[in-house]
Parts: sequence; C-alpha cells; structure tokens
Amino acid sequence: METNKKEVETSNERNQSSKQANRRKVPQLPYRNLDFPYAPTNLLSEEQLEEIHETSLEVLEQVGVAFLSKRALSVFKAAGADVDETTQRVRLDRNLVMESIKTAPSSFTMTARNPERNVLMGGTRLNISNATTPPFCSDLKGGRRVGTFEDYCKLLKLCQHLNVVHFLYGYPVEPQDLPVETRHLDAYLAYATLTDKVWRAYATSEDALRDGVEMARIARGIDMEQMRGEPSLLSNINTNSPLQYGGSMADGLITMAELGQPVVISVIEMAGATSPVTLAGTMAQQNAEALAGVALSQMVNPGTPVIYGSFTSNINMRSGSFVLGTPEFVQIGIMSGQFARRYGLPFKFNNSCTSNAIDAQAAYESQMSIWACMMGQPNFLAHGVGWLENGLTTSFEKMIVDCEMLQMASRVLEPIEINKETLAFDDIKDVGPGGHYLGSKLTMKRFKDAFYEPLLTSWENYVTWQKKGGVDLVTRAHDIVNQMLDEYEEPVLEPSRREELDAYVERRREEIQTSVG
Amino acid sequence: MSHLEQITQALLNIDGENLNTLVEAALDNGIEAKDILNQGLIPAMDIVGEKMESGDMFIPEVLMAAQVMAGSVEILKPLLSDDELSAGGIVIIGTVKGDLHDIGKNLVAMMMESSGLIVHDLGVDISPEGFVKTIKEKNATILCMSALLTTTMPMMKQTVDAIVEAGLRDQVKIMIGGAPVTQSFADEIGVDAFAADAGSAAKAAKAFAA
Repeated sequence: METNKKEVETSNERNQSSKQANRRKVPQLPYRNLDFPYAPTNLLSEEQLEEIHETSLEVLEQVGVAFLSKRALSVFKAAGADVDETTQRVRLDRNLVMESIKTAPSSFTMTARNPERNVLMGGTRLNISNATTPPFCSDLKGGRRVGTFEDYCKLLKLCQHLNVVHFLYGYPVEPQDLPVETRHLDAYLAYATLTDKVWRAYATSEDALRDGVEMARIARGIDMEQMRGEPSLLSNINTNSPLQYGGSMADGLITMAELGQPVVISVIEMAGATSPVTLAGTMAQQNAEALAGVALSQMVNPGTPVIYGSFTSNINMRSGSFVLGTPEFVQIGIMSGQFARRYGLPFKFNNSCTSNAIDAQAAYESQMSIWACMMGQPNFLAHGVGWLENGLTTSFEKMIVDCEMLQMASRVLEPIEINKETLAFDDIKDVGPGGHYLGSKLTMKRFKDAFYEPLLTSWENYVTWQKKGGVDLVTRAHDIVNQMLDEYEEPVLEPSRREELDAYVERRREEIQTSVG
Repeated sequence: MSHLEQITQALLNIDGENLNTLVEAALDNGIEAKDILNQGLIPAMDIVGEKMESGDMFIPEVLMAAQVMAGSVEILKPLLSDDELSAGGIVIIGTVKGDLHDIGKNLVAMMMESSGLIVHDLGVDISPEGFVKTIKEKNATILCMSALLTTTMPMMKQTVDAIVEAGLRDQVKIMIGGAPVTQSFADEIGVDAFAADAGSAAKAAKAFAA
C-alpha cells in the first residue's frame, strides 16, 4: 500500500512538471485587497431613507419580531424590551433599538490562519466570497449531482486557489454523503487544511457552531482569550421572514456574540410572498428584522461585530418562486447599502442568478448582481463564485465565469494613475500625427500589464477561433478548472496544529456518535 | 349553459357571490351536492391548476379561486356524507422537524384542497410522532412532507420509519418535496412520490386516490 502510494505521487509530479512546461499558468490577477474608489449610489434621498426607517421602527414597536428561543427572549426582557412569552414576540421601543445598536462596530478585521488573508469588514473595502451551501454541484464531465465530500474538497481547493476569493462564506457544496451529526467536523477540518482563508461555521446546531470556533482557534494556534479579542471566523444568521428568528438561528447569534465572533445577519425577504409586494414595504420589514438581530447581539455582548446582510429579492408572481438577478434585486441591493451605512454597519449583498445553465441568462443575471455591488458597495459580496440555479447548484465552470467577471470588476475599481509619465506627453510628441504606439517608448515600458488580461474570455476573431477548434465558453472554463486543480498548492499548516485538529475531530466524532446512539 | 357549467364558469371568474348563488340555485333544482362538488367545482379548479402550471394565472388569483371554492364548499358540507367529502383523499401535510420553511408547502396544501382533497396542514417543525398521531386521528390516506434544508431531510426517513413501526405504512401514500429533495432520495427512503412543484403535487395526490 505504502509503495503504491509513493509511485502514484511521483507519477503525478512528473505529469505536473511536463504540463507546466508546456502550458503557462492560468493568468489570475494577484490576491489583493479591493476598495471602492468612488462614492456609493443613492437611490433613496435622505427623506425617503428616513420615511422607510420610521416605518421599520413602527414595525418593531407595534408588530414586533418573534424569537423562537428562550435565551433570546430572556436577553430582550432583561434589556427592557416588551416580551410576550406566549407568542414569543418581542416589541422594541425605538430608543432601545437605536441605543443598543450604537456599540456595533462599523468596521472590524477577521484574522485568518494566514495573516495575509485577513479580511477587513468595513469602510470602502470589498471582500468576495464563494457560493455556499447548495445541495448539488455540477461540472461538464460529471453532470449535475448531489454534493459529495470529494466534490466539496475539490471546490475548496478552487476557492483557495482563486485569488479573487477573499474568504469562505460556507461550504461550496453540502457534502451530503457525510452523516449530518458529524458532517461539520470533516467539513471544518477540510476548510482549515485545504485553505488558509477565513471560513464560516454553521449555526444549524450548537455543536456545529462551538466546534467551529474551537477548530478555528486550534488552526490559528492561539488560546481562547486571544480568540475572543480577534474575530477569526464568522457565522450566518438567516431570519425566517416575515418577522421571525428560528430557535437555532437566534441561539447561534447569541453563542457567537458570547464568544466575540462576528455574525452576518442575512435577511431573506421574498417580496410578494414573505414581505410586502412593494419595495418600500420590503425594505421597511428588512430593516426591522435586521435591527432586531443587531440589537440582540449588542445586548448579549456590546461590541460584537455584526454585518447588515440582505438576500432579498422578488418572486415570480405566476409561480410563487423566488427569483434573483432581477431589477428589483438590484434596487434592493443599492438601498440596503444605504441603510447599512445609515446604521453604521458593514454591509453584505450577493452575486446570484436563477438560470439553470451557464448561458447568457446566468451571465446577465450575475452581471446585474455585480452591478448592484458596484453601486451599492457591499463590504461582503456573498456567493461571488460558482452560483447557479437560484442557489441549488454550485457549478465548477461557473466559478471560472464568475472569477472572470469579478476580476474585471475589480480592475474597474483600480484608481487611474495620473502623473507626468502616464499623461504621456513625450510619447505623443514622439509618435506624432499618423504614427503608432505599438513600439513606442512608453508602450515598451508598460505593455506587459497595461491592460486586464482575461483568463477565460476569447478575444480571437472568428476565423482564428474556428481554427483553434471553436471551443465554447463552458468547455474552456472546464479546462481552466482542471488546470487550476493541478496548480493548486495546499497551504502549509504546522504539524502540531494539524495533529491537534485531527485529535479534536476524532474525539468529537466519538462523542457525537455516542450521544446520537 | 347548464347549472353545473355555470358554476364552473363562475368559479373560473373568481366570482364568489355569484358562485354561492348558483350553488344554492343548483341545490334548489335538485342537483346533488356531490355532483355540484365533483362536476361543477372541482373541474374549475382543475382548469385553475393547469393555468397555474402554464403561468396563465397569477398565484394571488389561484389563491382567491381556492378561497372562493372553499366558501361554496361550506354550503355543500352539511349535505355531503363523510365518504363523499373525503373521496379524493385525506391529506396530512407538514414541514419536518427542525425546519421552519413553509411557503411552498402552503401552496401545495392549497392546490390539493382545491383538487377536492381534505387537507390538514400541521404547519412546521413536525416530529415523526406528530405526523403518526395525526395520521391515526384523521384516518389520513396521504402524507406529504416538506423540507428546505439538507440537514432536515433525514427527518423524512425517520418519519417513514415511525409510520412503518406504527403499522400505518399500508394506510398512507407518502409524498415528499422541497428544494433540495430529489427523486432518488425519495426512492432511497421508500416513499411513493416526489413532486417538484405544487401543480404536480396536487396531480400526484389525485392519482393516489384514483
């Protein structure tokens, strides 16, 4: 067994070096921090913003939000909210809400196990994450399938290798072949070993959350005291609209706050179904739901980092189903940004699409989403790469398509260099009327990285493209996936931390399996 | 147009007042309550179901039609025997334990009720024991389970096991649905049907009774 393994490794190495000798690496932009250099767009005037905000306050005061969690209800009660134990409804006076949220930081840093992958959540910073938690995945060769741990690991490697991905918003696909109770242990171990970026623990159970915090701590090689002061992983809390926080979500929010770790409160309104059919009404309800959660986090632990998140869109009125990448989705994204900034909170929005194929629809729906991002300026772009089918599937090839689109967007964010050299007067003078710049002094100096170099886009003319096989986009993306998986390098993890993680996972697996019985 | 044809048309026009008047008139004319239900009202809702699937009707319109039909069924109820009422089947529907999502399930319940089935919607977060108890209490012939989370899908299998253990498996046909649910998962856990949307769910339920 040992010998065979060695032989396989050597042959892989040989293949790798010959491949690399024949083919240049996939031209990615380097990993870098992105900042919006221009002001965000405001769809709403100051007055309109306040009108909606006023309605949100009225909803919180008069209608209230239900929290299906005893822990949450007691925190609210202690803070002075009007709590109805029978209906589990919490009504919050406007002063209580607005005072409570004041302690939430407008900006914070999440520390990865590789400090060069720390994430600044706030200000003008844009951080891109991966499509998360779909039940299915797909690729050109294997087709659409239920997610497995093998797919999960491959997708994680891609997420690690893609420089455009700043952190992991969650499982790139749900590894459904692993038993539910212990799934998170193997999934988190893979996060911590196959990547060195910040990752997200799941609040679907108390175990899943606490094990996540512990494993992130071990991977960083620090103690719990340091961990509390340095947010190192995040979790996601969804509301159950309208106006409801489910038990595990509310409890997860509280646990993360107690441990000093950040949460993104991601409100998912489906306008017309779980929120009012009008966008103004939907925004009013979204704010109410978000503010209630933010207030809770601060009541538990003032200063807990928390992100104002939205995954709100409209429904298809003919079928009742949720649809994404729509004009309404874009408007909601831009308005949500305005509210997050009004409340002094970092902001999360999304790349998304409803299309079932990697076709023009997927591209334009994702582009609509990216447009919302460019104007609404989230600090946290969720589901940046890989999303397909309204979130049911992560597509390997779509990850590359999204990567291309996001890389292009990131180039648009680069400030224009204005100085004596770039104004190019000398070149203009040298070349003169009717000349050309292809070999000019300045061009010779700057040609290599003068312009964005695509990794997927075909720029050939028709004849050349045909001669090279007329290869379509999805096939090209598929090849890039394979090439990137070849190029992937597992980030170094101190052996002692690896041992401790392995031991933790095995111990917890046994404990959980025994308790499940 | 005959009485029954007028009734079908009034329901398709979502005209509640007119419909109730026509139903009363039909009864006065000696038409049996079960015929008004099966040959007047249900055919209209079958058409509504088709229009919903083809996208020719908006969901709020479908909802209104269902409400209007329910209103007229109230008039017929005292005149229908238990068997006549439950001829289409008695459905228990709910979202499984640990899961709070219900919009899709609500649409399914509405479509099934409109197809002439008796539907008991238990709501969300229903344990296997909860389903078993209600199946017994209501003499259900069809069980429908919904889940939106991959982490709660295993509860579907646990519920099937509980039903088998209670000796009720032969009594109920079991159908499952929800965004992450698949036909192969349905086959794996041994249920009778998987439906991808409200329209096909209602059709499958009707087929069970046939």
